[in-house]
Amino acid sequence: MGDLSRLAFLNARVSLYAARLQPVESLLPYIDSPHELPADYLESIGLPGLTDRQPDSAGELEQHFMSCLAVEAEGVMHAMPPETRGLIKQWMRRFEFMNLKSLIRCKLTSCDLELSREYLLDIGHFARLPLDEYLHSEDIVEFLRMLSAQDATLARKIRLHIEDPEQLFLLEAAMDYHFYEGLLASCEPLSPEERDGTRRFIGRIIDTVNLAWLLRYRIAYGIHPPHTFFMLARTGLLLGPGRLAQLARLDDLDAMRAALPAEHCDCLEGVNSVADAENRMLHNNLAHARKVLRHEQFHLVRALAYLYLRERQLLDVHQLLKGKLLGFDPALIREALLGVAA
Amino acid sequence: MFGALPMRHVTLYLLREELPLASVVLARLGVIAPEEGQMHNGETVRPGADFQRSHHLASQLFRKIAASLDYTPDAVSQEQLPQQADQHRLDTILECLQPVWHQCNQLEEQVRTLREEIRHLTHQQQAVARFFNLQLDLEKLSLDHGFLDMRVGSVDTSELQRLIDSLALINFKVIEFDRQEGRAHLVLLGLNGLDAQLNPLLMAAGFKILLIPQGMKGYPDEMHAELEERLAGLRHELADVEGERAKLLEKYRAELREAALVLAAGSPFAELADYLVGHGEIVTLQGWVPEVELAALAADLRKELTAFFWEVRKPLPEEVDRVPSIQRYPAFLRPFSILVRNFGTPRYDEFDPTLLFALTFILMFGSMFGDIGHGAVMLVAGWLFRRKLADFSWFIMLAGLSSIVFGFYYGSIFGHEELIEPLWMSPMEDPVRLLLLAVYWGIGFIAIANLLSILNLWRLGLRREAILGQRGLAGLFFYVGLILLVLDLQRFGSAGMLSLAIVVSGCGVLVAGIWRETDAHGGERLLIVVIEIVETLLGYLSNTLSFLRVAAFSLNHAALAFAVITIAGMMDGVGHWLALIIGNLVIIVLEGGIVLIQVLRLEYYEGFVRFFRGDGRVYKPLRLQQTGTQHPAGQESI
Repeated sequence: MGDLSRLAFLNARVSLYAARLQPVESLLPYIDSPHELPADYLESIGLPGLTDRQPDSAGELEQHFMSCLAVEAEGVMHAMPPETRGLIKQWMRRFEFMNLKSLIRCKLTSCDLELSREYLLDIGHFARLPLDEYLHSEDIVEFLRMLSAQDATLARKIRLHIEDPEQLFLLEAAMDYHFYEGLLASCEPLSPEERDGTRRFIGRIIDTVNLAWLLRYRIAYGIHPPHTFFMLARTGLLLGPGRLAQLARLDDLDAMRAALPAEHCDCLEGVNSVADAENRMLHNNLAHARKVLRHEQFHLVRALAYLYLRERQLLDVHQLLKGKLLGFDPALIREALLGVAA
Repeated sequence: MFGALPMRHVTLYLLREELPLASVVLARLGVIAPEEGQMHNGETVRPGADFQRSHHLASQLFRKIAASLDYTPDAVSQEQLPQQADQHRLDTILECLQPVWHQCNQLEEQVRTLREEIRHLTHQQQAVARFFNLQLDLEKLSLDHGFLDMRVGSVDTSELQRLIDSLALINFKVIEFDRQEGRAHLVLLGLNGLDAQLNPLLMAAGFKILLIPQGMKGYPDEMHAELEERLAGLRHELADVEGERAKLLEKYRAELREAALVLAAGSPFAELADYLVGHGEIVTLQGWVPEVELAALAADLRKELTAFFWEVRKPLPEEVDRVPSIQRYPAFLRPFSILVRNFGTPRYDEFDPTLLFALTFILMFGSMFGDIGHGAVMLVAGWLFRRKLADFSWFIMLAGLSSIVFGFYYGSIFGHEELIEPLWMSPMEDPVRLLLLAVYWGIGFIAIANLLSILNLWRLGLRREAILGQRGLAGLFFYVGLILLVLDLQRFGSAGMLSLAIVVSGCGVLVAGIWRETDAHGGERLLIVVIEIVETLLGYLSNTLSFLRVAAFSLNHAALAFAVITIAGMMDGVGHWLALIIGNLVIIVLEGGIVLIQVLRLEYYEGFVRFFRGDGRVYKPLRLQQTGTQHPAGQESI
């Protein structure tokens, strides 16, 4: 009864928002259409802002979706009990990490100020880092000194990895790992029941990220097992440290699949490339998030499931519109959309 | 005193080339609160945008250099500032600052690297002191062991477990022998020949190898000394870099001073850039200026500029929301105005409640905390701490004075009621009478609040609400009728015709008003009307009874003082006086604080919410700053 009353507002708001979620298939009829997405469709998926004026550039379009997601995340967050709101703040930090990655790339390639600014997304009230100040840093060393003032651990990790420009993917992985660590830490103030459910949901996502990195490290980049294992997050749901250590020793996709827990093994049946495997895992996660949204009533994890699905939906719409905006072949757009849903 | 200073809307037409100068002139006078303007054809060409961007960049660079070189610009008067700062001067400053920052940045990075190295070596040095806990001969660590790979070093504790787990994959053992300031000092042992796997892992983990000096044969003091020597070298290097910074500051001091002045002179233009519109040679700036300052503004502009043109007019009814509100108060009202602004800024056309707030606050505080002694302590404390309390010393002193006056009425000095004859009576003498008086006070307070609400609604143009609304005339009628009805019932045991007529007419108008405003049909509409009327009735009842706290706290005050005297009376000598002093201090600090909060609560929630919207625009005129490091932040004149 306690959770019913405590989470009633959140539950109602997420249910209302969830009505906007549509399967990716709903976008397919518009791929070949010469016109933009119709106003009633855009309204039904909660994007009425796009009916008035279509963004002129891909960057503007991306920002529009980002703002939309930030507003909805804020709406979800305000419906949550105050002590649990840190979870959504941390969830949305992923976009700040994306900004940081863009900024690092810009600093390493000495992009000019205006161009660097174009790569950054405005994440509204979820921004914690003074990105504008970072933008004005002279070079990467000044940027990292500035970042140290806000997040010394992250700055230290970045410093370790920027020395070798050929292995910048390791930097990205280290940042991902840092983000998921923070996300799990933000579950601490939750009640045991909420914490357990939320951690399981996040653990499943970490499994996907880990598996994707594992396949890339071992198969695509040929990184040695100890190094691979070191770079992975240890807080997954089904892929615990023991299993990851076992997987890190393997360097063949079939052997890895055979060593996976049953659920992942089934999911990856018949895949023959790292990209395929990533798509399958993501698809599996989306299905799980839909299940959570449908069945987990009066639980904080519904909020995360909604945001996870919503982000994917916005990404799909974004891919379609961006493809049309840039004049891509409809077949290519279809492939981009169904690559995930396949 | 009850409203804002009259404001005028000014549209200035300025020559583009004179914008930097005009900005400085306007900022010097500090009377115009700019507002965003639009060109007649709807275009928004911002002639100052480039200047603003350069100014922002230069200011940021200047701030970073000043922080790096520990440079504080000298305070300068308005007269010392350059007449103007145009784009060319700003570009020159930017060009001058960029290489300075480049040098500063390098020095900063050197300092960071050196400090990190010093920290690392200091940890190593501390670790060496415990090195023999391992029971190992140091010489063995520096030897080639053939099949064995042995490494000593440290890693961040947050990475330790991951490193241990990862090393286990190539059968490396980890021995932790020390832990300091978030770093674990380790010995790694494994088979030789695994460098390809080991080295990238150690690099990713941020493993720092402890260098064992050549020829070290198990003497920790020698190693300690060696590290000390290296540390001394690093500290010396650090001092050199600090010296470099000092030299850099001396080398560029004149340029930095010049930059600070130019940036300060340019900041008004940079700030105005958001408000300037127009293309071609003529640029317009719109804003609000107090009527009393118009003549001075015109005189200054005429004196400094070659040419300008302006249009001045009164605020239009539809733009009243945007007119900044500026009030001027005597010193004793300033703390009260701060408390009013804590709730909201009075709108330009709104009744300013500061004076009324001050009077009712002082009255209520005194009546709830009436005591000559306690009031005198507050009065003296307010005077003694007037520098620390600034404007709030008036607040404390007036509250104390009010306590003293009511203390005479209650005949109470530090709770002693036998020392002087009360001008009226002690609160404990007739509590019922006191409670009744508090209710009457509340009725008067709410009625005045309602009257002010009618006035404000009328001024806002919400005339229907001013007549038919719950906070309008109908609501006031209803309330007054209810009070008369209760008085009739109390005095005569039955309702009088007059009171009934007022209640019914007030209620009828309210019903009509709510019915009209409600967007529903049939039964639902009726239900909403009934609920609203019941809510209004209950609201008035609870708001009125809320004022009982005025009497309750005066009774509480007398009872607390009586308790202190009784406790002190049970003791002798020092105990007696200590109990008296501590008891009275507790009364003044704790009870005084509670009374203060209660009075504020009454003012805000029984008074302000009825009539005060408080959504006015704060007057922030363009002002000149003293140095070039920040954008000028205008302040409301009070």
